[in-house]
Amino acid sequence: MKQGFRQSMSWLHGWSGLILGWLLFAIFLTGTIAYFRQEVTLWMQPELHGSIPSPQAADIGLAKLTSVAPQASAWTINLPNDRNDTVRVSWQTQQPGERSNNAMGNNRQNIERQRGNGMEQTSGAGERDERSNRNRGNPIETRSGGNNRAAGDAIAPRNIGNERQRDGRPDQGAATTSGNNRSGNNEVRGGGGGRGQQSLTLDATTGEVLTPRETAGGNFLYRFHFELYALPRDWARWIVGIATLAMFVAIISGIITHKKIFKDFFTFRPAKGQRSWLDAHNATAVLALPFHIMITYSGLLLFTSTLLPWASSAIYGDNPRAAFAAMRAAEQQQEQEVRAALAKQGGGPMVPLGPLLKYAEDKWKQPASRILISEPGKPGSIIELLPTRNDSLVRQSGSGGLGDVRMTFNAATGELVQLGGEREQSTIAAINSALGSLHRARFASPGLRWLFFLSGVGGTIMMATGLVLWSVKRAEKNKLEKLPFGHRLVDHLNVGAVAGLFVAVAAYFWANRLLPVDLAARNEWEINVFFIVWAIMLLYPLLRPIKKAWIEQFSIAGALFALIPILNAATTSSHLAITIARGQWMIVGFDIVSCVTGLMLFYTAYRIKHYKGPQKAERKPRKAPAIQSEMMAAE
Amino acid sequence: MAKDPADRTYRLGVLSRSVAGILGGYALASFSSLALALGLPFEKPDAINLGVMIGFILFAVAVIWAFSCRSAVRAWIGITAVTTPFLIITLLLNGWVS
Repeated sequence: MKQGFRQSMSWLHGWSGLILGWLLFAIFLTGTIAYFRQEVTLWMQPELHGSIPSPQAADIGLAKLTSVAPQASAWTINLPNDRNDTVRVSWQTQQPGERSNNAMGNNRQNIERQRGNGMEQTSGAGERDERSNRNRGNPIETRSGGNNRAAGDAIAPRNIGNERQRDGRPDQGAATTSGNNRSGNNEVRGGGGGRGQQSLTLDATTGEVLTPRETAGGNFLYRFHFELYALPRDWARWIVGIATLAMFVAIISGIITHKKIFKDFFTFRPAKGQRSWLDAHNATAVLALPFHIMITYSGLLLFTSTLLPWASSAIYGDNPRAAFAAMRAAEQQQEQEVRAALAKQGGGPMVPLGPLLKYAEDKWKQPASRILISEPGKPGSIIELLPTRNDSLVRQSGSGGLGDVRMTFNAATGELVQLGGEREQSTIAAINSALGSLHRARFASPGLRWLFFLSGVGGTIMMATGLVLWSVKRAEKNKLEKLPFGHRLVDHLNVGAVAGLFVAVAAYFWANRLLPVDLAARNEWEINVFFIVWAIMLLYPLLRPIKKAWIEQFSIAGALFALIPILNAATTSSHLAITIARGQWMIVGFDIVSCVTGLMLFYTAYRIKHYKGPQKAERKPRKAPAIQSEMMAAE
Repeated sequence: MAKDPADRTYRLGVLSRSVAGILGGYALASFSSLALALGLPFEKPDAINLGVMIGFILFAVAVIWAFSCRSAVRAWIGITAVTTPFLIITLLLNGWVS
């Protein structure tokens, strides 16, 4: 402002970062964990840990569907893959009075609604998570699909996809986010003319029906990172959207401020007060800078329907879905004709799934992960296979990485069927898809997923060190005897927002193991524990000196995380010795990452305890600067 | 502190720049995305996507401009000058004025 360009950017960076920094820290922390959402949910349902993937998984699923739902209009089998160890089957039942051509479309809609482009869209697997969240006690869960979601999703711009998804899926997030739509087991929800979908989780080796405990799982953390909790959805999305805008501004102004971007990256001056904080902040920021820019900008684009809906509503009006349905009418027509022609050929027993799965795997170079069968046993029955993940960044990634890649077979003959033409995609649509895919990492194999996770860890540390840096910098500049109220408030909130959130997340995992398994609304209690603990941690520094509060909260969080493998061993029969022997790396990974996180939090507490500031010892809270680079190296 | 006139001027300046950057920037983002979506000669979904992508970037540029230019008045002038053409294009193309 009065000063040079860089100084004004430094000012802007500091304030835009501080004002929404606590929220951004929480978004980064929960969003980072959300990269392993399915794995976290699996860990939180130890009843599923006994299931070991087997080659017979598809046949186990098929046998179960044949026995429990022979008359269903559509079957779905979700096979074990590298993020899931169980078999999940679901089926659509056709209610009396329903027009029969709907049934044909049911399965189709299932696929279609997963193909849009919206942020709301949880992956197919996420959907499975939610289902299993609720099916304790009554293993067969009923739900109802919405209406007519088939039209036009895949080419819809992201914002349109957003609206549609939300409207179409009343169940989404009910278990985790919305306060008014939580429901017990076995409830039919939504409209859709009474079309119900029911599902079961099976042991992938024995075929036994599993009844996992109710849990909010990884989904709670996932949804919290962009919709917070218990707030009206639009408010929450605006709040997070504004925070994302602030982050975007902070990143750009931060880059401008930071002239020696490459030189500073190799500079680290531990235990030098403000310099060390700055170095740690810079190192984590610069190391993962492409990630930070990508995650922020793509996050904004995913919020288009909330933040910038104007362009879409000017062109498509208030009902974009109808516009897209019209645009895709020809394609749908073609598909209906193919299906009708197949139905005329007559039915017959279904061909075995094995060869089809093998064919798909050879072609895709990755196993199929989901099988959809429409009109099983009837004329015109079709088998569709979907891959484990969508390897391509630019194809639609909405459905757990499945996108619109799939393979369709005539169920009676096993011949490939071409249902519709390949859609052409423009460069802009490809860029848009790629940004969405990158944000959600749904295309990512486990190795790449770890890289995204570590980048997220870098971002989390960047936020935390940035918050502390703001305080340290001001304190060293002012050198006041007594800090102004605003400054003390920042220090206070830093403790609860940074260290306190670690405690709350750890408590959430502990609650999962310690709450009674048959507690009513158990998933809500897990979430309640999270917020109650966090609230206590935010108030806690009122009663303690700031430095002690830092040390104590990091110690509590460290202890809770470090002991998670022991907690798991004490409360389940799937502890590390067993899971390592069985090669259940998702569960092993959770235990070990928790333990390592805990030890690092402990170390942070230890360093703060022994830190002697350059000025008065009591004056400033300090986390140990060295921990930042070590955390990155270790993880 | 607020009694010091220089300090008060500074604070008012910051407030004015904040409003220019945040609300002005949002207006710029909205009208640029609208004008581009309506005006670009692409398929409609593409034009919408590109308009929104550019709109978000212009928002950030507006905020940075608001806090980096020499005075708060300049912040307002600059953002208004860039937003107005987009506003006019939007009004013309959307048929709100004929």
